[in-house]
Amino acid sequence: MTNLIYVANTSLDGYTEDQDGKFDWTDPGEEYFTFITDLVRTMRTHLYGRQMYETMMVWETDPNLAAESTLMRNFAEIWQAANNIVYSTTLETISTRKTQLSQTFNPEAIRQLKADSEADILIGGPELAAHAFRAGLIDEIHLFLIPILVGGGKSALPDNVRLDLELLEEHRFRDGTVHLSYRTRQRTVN
Amino acid sequence: MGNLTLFMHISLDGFAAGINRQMDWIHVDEEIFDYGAERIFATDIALYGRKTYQLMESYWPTAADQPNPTKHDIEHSKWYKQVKKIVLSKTMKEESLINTQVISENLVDEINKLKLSTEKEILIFGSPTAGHSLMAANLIDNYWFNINPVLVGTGIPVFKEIKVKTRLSLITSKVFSSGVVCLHYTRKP
Repeated sequence: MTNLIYVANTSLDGYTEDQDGKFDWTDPGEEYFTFITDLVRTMRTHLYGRQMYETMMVWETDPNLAAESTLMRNFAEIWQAANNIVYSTTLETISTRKTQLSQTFNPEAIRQLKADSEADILIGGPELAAHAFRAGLIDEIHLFLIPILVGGGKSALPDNVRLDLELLEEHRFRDGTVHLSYRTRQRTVN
Repeated sequence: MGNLTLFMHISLDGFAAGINRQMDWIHVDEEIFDYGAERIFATDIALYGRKTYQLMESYWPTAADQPNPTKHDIEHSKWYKQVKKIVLSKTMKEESLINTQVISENLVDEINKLKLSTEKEILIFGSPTAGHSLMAANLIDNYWFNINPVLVGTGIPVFKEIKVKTRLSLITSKVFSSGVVCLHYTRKP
């Protein structure tokens, strides 16, 4: 049985993107890229909502991005190695290899995926993750706390989900970003 | 010049208390108290919203006199009784209070006066609603949080009324054995 792991950047006041839909203030540096490459390396399946997929697919569709540095090339490689499932009723075309489209979010199908998988599964995008949280599917939360207050936008964590957690790790980056990871303690039996 | 610090125990999803002010999910222990004590005792001015002030007043003045007081009860009670207290409230009256000033209007002027009156840190204890008013007026200089390993889901949010994107510097990070994480940020100039 593998873990479903939610990874998100968040401002200190809890937003993955601001009210203008921007997240340029996350400004990932070398230390972050090295860290997140190692983190994501072990997750061979990625689940995305449409918006997060469109943000991440550039790691395959834009070769200039990977060419910018060795670190970014390394991240691009591990990203491209994963299988993606995109959950969307509005996305019409898939732009990357090893990617399938699903129009419904089916908790049972995800449980089956976890049972069948040999590696951990990444989930990205707060709206999709909220569905997974509500279905009691999330096993780990990894947040990168960016040292900024943005005042509003898209919340990294879901509303109305009550969950006890266990701290796994804390890591402080030179630029003041803090990585916190937690195991969830599910209240309902899956 | 003094600086204003919001000191709060919070959930990972950014709440100060539950929807009915529940705080049973907040973990405090000897380790956490000891870590904060030196910094708290170094301050001369403590700031509260009305509800938190009333909560504090119902416990701290006599905490050391109860049967089997803890070390924290004794020390914090001693400090609490002598610290100058500021309460943000439109309804409370100052006359009946000891060593306590009520700020009911002119928030920016009054807080700036306070900052000029000391070189030390002014600590806001909890008090999320007062915190929101101070955030709206851009008066908070530091955030000192104990992040609890829990999602509370709904309640009184820590942050509200942030109107300007505010870059922060992380000053300290500390992990407690309970899994609570302490983070202290200061506002970048």
